[in-house]
Amino acid sequence: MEKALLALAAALAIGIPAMATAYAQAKIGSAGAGTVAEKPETSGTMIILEAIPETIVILGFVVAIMMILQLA
Amino acid sequence: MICEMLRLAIWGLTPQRSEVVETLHDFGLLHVCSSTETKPPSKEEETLKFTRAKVLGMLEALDWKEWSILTDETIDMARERVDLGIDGVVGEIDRSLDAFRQRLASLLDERRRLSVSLSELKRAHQIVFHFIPFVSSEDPSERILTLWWTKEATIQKTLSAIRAAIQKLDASETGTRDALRFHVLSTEKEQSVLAISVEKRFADKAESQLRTQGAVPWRAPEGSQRATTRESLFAVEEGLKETLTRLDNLSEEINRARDGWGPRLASLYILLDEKLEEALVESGSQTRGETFLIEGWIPADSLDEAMKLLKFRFGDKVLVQWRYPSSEEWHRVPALLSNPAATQPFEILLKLMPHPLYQGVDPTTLMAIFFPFFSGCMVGDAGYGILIGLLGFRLSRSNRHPLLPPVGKILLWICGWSIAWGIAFGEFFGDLGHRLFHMEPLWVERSHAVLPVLIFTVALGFAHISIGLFLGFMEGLRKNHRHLWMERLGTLIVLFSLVGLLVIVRLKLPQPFFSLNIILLVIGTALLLAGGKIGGIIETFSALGNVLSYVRIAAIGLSSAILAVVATRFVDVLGLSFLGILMALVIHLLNFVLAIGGSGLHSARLHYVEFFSKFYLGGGKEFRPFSRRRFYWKKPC
Repeated sequence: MEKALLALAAALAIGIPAMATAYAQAKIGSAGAGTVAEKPETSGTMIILEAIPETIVILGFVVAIMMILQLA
Repeated sequence: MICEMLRLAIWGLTPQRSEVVETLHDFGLLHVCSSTETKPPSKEEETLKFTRAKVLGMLEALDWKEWSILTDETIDMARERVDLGIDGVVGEIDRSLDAFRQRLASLLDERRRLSVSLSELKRAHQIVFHFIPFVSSEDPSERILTLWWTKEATIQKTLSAIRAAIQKLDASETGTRDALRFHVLSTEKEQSVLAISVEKRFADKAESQLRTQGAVPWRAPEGSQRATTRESLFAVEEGLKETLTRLDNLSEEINRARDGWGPRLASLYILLDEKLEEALVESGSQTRGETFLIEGWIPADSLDEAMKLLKFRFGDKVLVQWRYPSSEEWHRVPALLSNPAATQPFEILLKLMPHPLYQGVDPTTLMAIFFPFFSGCMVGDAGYGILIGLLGFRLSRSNRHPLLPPVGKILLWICGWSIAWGIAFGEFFGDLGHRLFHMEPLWVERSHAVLPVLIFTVALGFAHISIGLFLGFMEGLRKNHRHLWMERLGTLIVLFSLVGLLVIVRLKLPQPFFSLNIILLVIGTALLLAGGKIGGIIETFSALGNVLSYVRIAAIGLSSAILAVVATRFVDVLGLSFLGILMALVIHLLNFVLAIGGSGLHSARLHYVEFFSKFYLGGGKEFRPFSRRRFYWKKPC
């Protein structure tokens, strides 16, 4: 039971941030595409803004790996 | 590195200004500073702009877009042909273009006219195509055939009316049945085309009945109208074939004109652009009585060359002065990046960021070290590395686009590190290397030993961020920004002391080490508070997040490694069959594309977001020398 809960927790640790990141990137991406169409010189800034939410899912990944290693 | 720049001032007599400007244009290494006062454009500038727009308009009419095929030689040939003053150039271009302009206009007009005619004929042909079998079955010597537009709902009523009218003239039942034959084609909006075939003696009666019922006679498009409907229908078919042939011939003629005239017009456009640039520099120079002054920035290592050239061309008639820029001027000095050939391709990665400041840090060399290292670590497969190398080799020799050779060279760097990491992880197209020639990892197999790779990437991030913070600290010191250097130094010390504490606790080191670390932590925090107040503390947490962000190198690498193994497993599951090999190849291809795209994107992000934010100050001016157009002329906006 404990193993199952750990596995579920690991899945949630990466799954929820992944969904949150996807939502944030979708919003930023659509706004960014519009901005770049108007001002191509902002493409660098847009890539950075688009990349910022990814950190959350990376941190989620670290947490999930820690849990999986405990499981092992 | 960023080139050292000098402020150059060239004084001369006004009659020689054009010649000096032309010499500087040929020299091509002076970033000219125009005078700040705004002047209305001169007549010459207006004429040049107008002619340039005309040439561009013709290029657009020709639909010529092959700017990348223009070489220096093509442009030089055009330059030699029209080596005249501005009036001469404009006159020569206007004269040579007049004949071509008329010919092009007539060709384009004819194409437009034929296109309109073609669309009408195509619409008519849809009707013709439907009625041809019916028309062919009718005998033209005995019967009259006509086509009518009519409403779908009234067809039956119309036909009954015609039958009734015929019956009045010929009471026999057989005569009535054969006298009228018809065929219907339904079109859009409840409209139909009704083909009526009647014996000649009933033609007038049938026509009057059709008109009474509101039917309108169908007419062939202009040019295909003949004496009878039957002839018109065949004329439409003939006209369509003829128009298509004429359009093909015309397109070939326009293509020939495009191929022949496109490069010449483009060269002329570039020449006009150069002349306009010279005119703008001339009008932007300062005039004081009989003398003129042109000022600009020049790389320090090109000064001698410039002095020699001006001395050789103008002797003592031109006075040249130079000086180093003052610190107040630094923000106005253009920054020219100058890096060794090996690291130069990485300059394109800086194009996505604001241009570096003069006296700022040029991170190209650091990017050349870390970017391929990170990307290679993410790919981490010798097989994919070889493929990346082949792709890089192909792109580095391509001249289809100016961006391709540097991208190719960057891929060659990534190839080297991918192969190195592939050997370290023992990966060659996943576990194929192990299966075929018992390849063993030099370090760890990352799909199994996740933790060591994770720890390594965090350590890598720590080192990278520390370099960034150190550069930021140096920048602060150099520019005397107290807050900047204190904050960066404080963050660096806090990070080091936190790592130190972790090591001390883990290795159970003696008490003095612990005390030393606590002292360092206090000093770091004090510096942080002095430099950035509460913002400084937040900056430290952000730096910790930045370090953890490097875990993505391991995460992306892990997913790539597992996908490669999965690809090879398809052969296990489906056997050494066509389907098994095809599936394995498809998954490997997908993984390869993801490896190139993902590793490049994430490596760039680690630089732009995590690394550059510690020291990089953009907002500088790009060095734009006043020079002739060179290879890879960019399409004008």
